[in-house]
Amino acid sequence: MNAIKCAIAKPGLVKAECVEMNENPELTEKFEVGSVPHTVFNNGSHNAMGLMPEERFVVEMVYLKSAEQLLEEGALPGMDEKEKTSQYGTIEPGEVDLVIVGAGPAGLTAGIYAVRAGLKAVVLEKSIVGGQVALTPVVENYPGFATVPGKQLMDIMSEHAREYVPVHEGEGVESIKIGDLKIGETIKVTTNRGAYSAKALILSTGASYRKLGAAGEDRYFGRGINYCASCDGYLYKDKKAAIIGGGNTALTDALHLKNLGVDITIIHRGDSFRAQKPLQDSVAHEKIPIIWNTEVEEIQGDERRANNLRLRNTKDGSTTELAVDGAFVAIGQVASTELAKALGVELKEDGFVKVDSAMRTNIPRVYAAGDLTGGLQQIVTAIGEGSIAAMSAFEDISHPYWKE
Amino acid sequence: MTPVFKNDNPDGWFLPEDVRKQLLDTFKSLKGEVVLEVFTQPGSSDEFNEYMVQFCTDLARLTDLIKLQVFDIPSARANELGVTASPTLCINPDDYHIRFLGAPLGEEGKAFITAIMLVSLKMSALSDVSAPMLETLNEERLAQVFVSPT
Repeated sequence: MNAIKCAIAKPGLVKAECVEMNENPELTEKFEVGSVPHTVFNNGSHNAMGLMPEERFVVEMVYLKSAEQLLEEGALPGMDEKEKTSQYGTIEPGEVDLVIVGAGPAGLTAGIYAVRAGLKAVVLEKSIVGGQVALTPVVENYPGFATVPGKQLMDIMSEHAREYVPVHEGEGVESIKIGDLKIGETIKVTTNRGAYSAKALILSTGASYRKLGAAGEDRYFGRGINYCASCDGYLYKDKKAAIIGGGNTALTDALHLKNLGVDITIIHRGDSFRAQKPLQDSVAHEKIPIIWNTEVEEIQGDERRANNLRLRNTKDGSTTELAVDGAFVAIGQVASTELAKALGVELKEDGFVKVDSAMRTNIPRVYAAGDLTGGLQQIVTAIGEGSIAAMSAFEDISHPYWKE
Repeated sequence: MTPVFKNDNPDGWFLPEDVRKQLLDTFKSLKGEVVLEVFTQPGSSDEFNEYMVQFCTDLARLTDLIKLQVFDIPSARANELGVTASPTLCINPDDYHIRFLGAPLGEEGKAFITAIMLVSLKMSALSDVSAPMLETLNEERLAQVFVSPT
């Protein structure tokens, strides 16, 4: 959409083209597109990977350089005297009662409840709405929906949330400063567009993909190594790929990829799957080959793309190789606790954020909900926690317990 | 390809009724005319060609303000606009260069509808920060955004 908006604004100069990768394979190959979205400016003068806020898109298109590079050169428009150098533009999103960080099911639900309770709230999301659910091919355990694509479920949820609360996509939180409660200071949340001043904060930043930690993983990220089967599966239609993991996500993704026409093999370091039985049965029924007791030691390639996995058997240490066009890593989640840690929020032993039954953290006016708090880590628990966190915020803003 | 829309509609509609209702509502805000020019090469990507044509036909049928023109590749118009990929959809090509190379499936369907609205309203919807920055541009830019149907 960013490109289209620019094309409308400057019709003589800006051309916007939306290229469906599956239907345009030569163009995709030409620019070595490995993950979406991927924007190519002026036939390759500059490339931008991933989703970005509108302002950043415009900057990168005008200057044909990444925002980071412009920052280094001191050439980023709008950056002058302000304290936060990564901030450009002078939008003051202003004062709100509640800032919710993360627009997955927990954050969206919190938004609905907060606004219905009368709070002025905003949901900030660094990428796109939906969190991990949006990346799940099929959801079958959300009551009311026997089977539904994850993205569709999150579209329905975010439409509903947007009837109440503004949801800002592409606006990640860079820093949070908690003021002194006793003298009535607020919580200052700074994003890539400006700063919000809030009375309370809900962290629903969820979790992110656990990486293998294998050599070559970062090098070939987006060029053979993927973490999201629903996003990038299409790229491997009629090609060979491996999926690494043994839990629900790995098996669901394997079935999805097989269905897409990918020649898929599962690599698991154990000798049995952790996944739920129906998934295991489906995998067996689909006759998806499985390499047991094996870990991926290294991802090798020809510098441009990954093309080979060096595998090691965990039982006897022997190494083998598997030639692939790509690999999907589905080995679990790591809670996205960077913001929480920076604030000094207490974590549990397992690395997730500690909350009481009302979703309060150890810091007054700061709450957490969803996968971030650990526990069962399902959509249904996330939405439950989101609503509780919002109501706790509402109660505390109305009756600050710490003042008694 | 997973069938996105089942073809069991009366009166030859391609889009399901609830989607049509929603679009009718959205299209109430249309102002200026929007011309959709669809280019297809028979024999190449036929499924997607058909999807594109049927989708656009429905849109044009829903409101007088959307007009559809279908061209072959190759053809005089295709050459004029430099269109080679099949299917390609151009929105008001005489005024703007906004194209979809490949049928706008999934998420891109939304972008497509939004593009129609913005073109009709002659609005860019750029923020107060972006617009002035874009003003400083005085060279050509081609932005090709690669997407996948999910």
